Amino acid sequence: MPDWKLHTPNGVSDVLPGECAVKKDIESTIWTVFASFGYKEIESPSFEYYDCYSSEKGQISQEKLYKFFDEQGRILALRPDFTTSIARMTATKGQNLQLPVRYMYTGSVFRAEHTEGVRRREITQSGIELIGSYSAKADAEVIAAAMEAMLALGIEEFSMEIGQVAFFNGLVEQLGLDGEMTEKLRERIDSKDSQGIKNIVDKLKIEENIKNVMIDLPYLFGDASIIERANVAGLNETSKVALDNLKSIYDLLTLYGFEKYISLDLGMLQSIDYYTGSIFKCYTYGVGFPIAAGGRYDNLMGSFGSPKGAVGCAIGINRIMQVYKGETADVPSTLVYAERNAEGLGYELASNLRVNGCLTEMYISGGGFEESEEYARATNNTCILRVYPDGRLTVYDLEREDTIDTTVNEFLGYGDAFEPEPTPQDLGFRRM
Amino acid sequence: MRYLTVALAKGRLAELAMDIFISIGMDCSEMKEKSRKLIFTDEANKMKFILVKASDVPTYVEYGAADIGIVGKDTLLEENRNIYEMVDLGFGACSMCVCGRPELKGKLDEIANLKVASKYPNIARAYFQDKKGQTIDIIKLNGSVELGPLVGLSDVIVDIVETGATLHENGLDVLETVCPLSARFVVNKVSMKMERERIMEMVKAFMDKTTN
Repeated sequence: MPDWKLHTPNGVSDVLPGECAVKKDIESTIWTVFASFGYKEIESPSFEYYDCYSSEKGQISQEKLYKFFDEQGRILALRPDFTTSIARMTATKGQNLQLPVRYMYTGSVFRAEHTEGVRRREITQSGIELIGSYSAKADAEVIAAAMEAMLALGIEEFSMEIGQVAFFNGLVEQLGLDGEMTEKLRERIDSKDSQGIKNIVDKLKIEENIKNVMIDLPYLFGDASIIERANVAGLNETSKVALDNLKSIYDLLTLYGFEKYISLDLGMLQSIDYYTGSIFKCYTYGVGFPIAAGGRYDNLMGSFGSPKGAVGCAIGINRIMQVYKGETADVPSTLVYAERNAEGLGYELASNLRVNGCLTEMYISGGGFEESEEYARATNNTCILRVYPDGRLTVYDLEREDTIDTTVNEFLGYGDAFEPEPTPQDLGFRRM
Repeated sequence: MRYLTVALAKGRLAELAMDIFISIGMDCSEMKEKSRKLIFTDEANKMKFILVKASDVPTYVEYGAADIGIVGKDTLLEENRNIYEMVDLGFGACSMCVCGRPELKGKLDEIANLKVASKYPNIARAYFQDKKGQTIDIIKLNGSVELGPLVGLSDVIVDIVETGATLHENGLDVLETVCPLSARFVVNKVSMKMERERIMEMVKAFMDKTTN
């Protein structure tokens, strides 16, 4: 049997220093962009009652939730996304807030993916939720913020695909399809399988116009002209409103200067139980999956007893890491080597440097000065400060291969009036 | 221009698909030569072709290691990947069927714990449990599935039937048809959006070639 304690489970991984620096860089860049739009950071629990996530309108299916029990036998689940918790939080604790509210978050979500190792089960997401508005301006703002984040991350070649699930819902309404049939049709449209759609709608007694739109849905993607193509005679109110809404969002984003990044796709129909209006996904070269995704979820707040319009977006940090080209500086540090009985002085020196923003390491391993020099050269320490108990200091500049003799006080700019710190022996301590 | 990578299911499907790629102006001469190479490049059109096992085609395409794939509907149903299924190529037509001894015809519903052997456990489960509402035991096999009912391993099998010759030689018959099958032109969801024009041009060409 393998020694399990040496391995991490499928779908989770350690993040080592170099990679972690990149990750934190990405997170802080996104944080700055979202904060500049007025989003306030919040945190939600890593786990909640299963019921919170399991409502019919949940985005993540129940078999993908990690479930466990509390001491009273109630079912808990690790959060599969932030949106649900934020909706619950806003519904139950945000009664007197001035709407709309803008929240942002960064953290891990957990999904029990039944698949090979490449699919992650712990995913880091940074996202925003804009709650309390039904306006297309809200959708446009969230999409714009996500695109600003991409640009700030240095990702120039991306495509933001925007769909509108209410258009499809309107068609289904009109046809009076049951749940099972709707799901089959949705699946075929989402797979852009026009033959499969034909096979289904040919059996239905429906108007030719509507039938043709259904079959055409997989190809209704591209620029704004697809809205005209979809706007056939005989659409019901839901579908018409959906097209108008999509047009408004498109026009706003064009006014904001994002035209070259956006395109439309009326055949994008994932998670339609959850999303109620706009739905969007952001793609780039080199990643086979969306790097950001979101949409409008007007029913979710209602399921927590406080009906409100809401729209949000989450950026997949792990996927951004695959394409992020930003430089993360490996800042060099200084190594302080304190001779015997100079430990206090060494620490004081280090503290002074740290306060001034210098990365300062104390040499704590055994061996003498030579070992510390070896250590410094093997790590990113470009300078060693060798401190003696009497306040003398030797600076070893490893980059210039230069040595300077000075004192701690002079080095820190205190002048000459230096009294050596009393050693334990001076204070009357005796060695055992 | 970036390379577009096409994953082809090794074997007859790859050859038929290649003929279409050639007819729309791609250079597949490298592939026509017999060799052990697995990756072929058409520099002029910036295309790469890779030969992979049929059941791996959806995986390559879903992860974006290939932008386009040519693969049978049977594999797509079994693998159930999140990809675009753009064109029904028509060739490689056959059916997914439930087969067994002829005397079982019309009596499948009466068997309480039907034992089903198949290379396609997901398709078998979807058909019996989701579509027919019948609980079954599934035995996953990797080849010569026809043996299942003959040696008493299973009551029936779920497998691809082209002509039915192998079945008849072994005293088996088609009992029920699950669905028709044929080759599909599949596309990675991101590639479709990032390389829309080039891919849609190819999709249209393939549609024209296959509807005639």
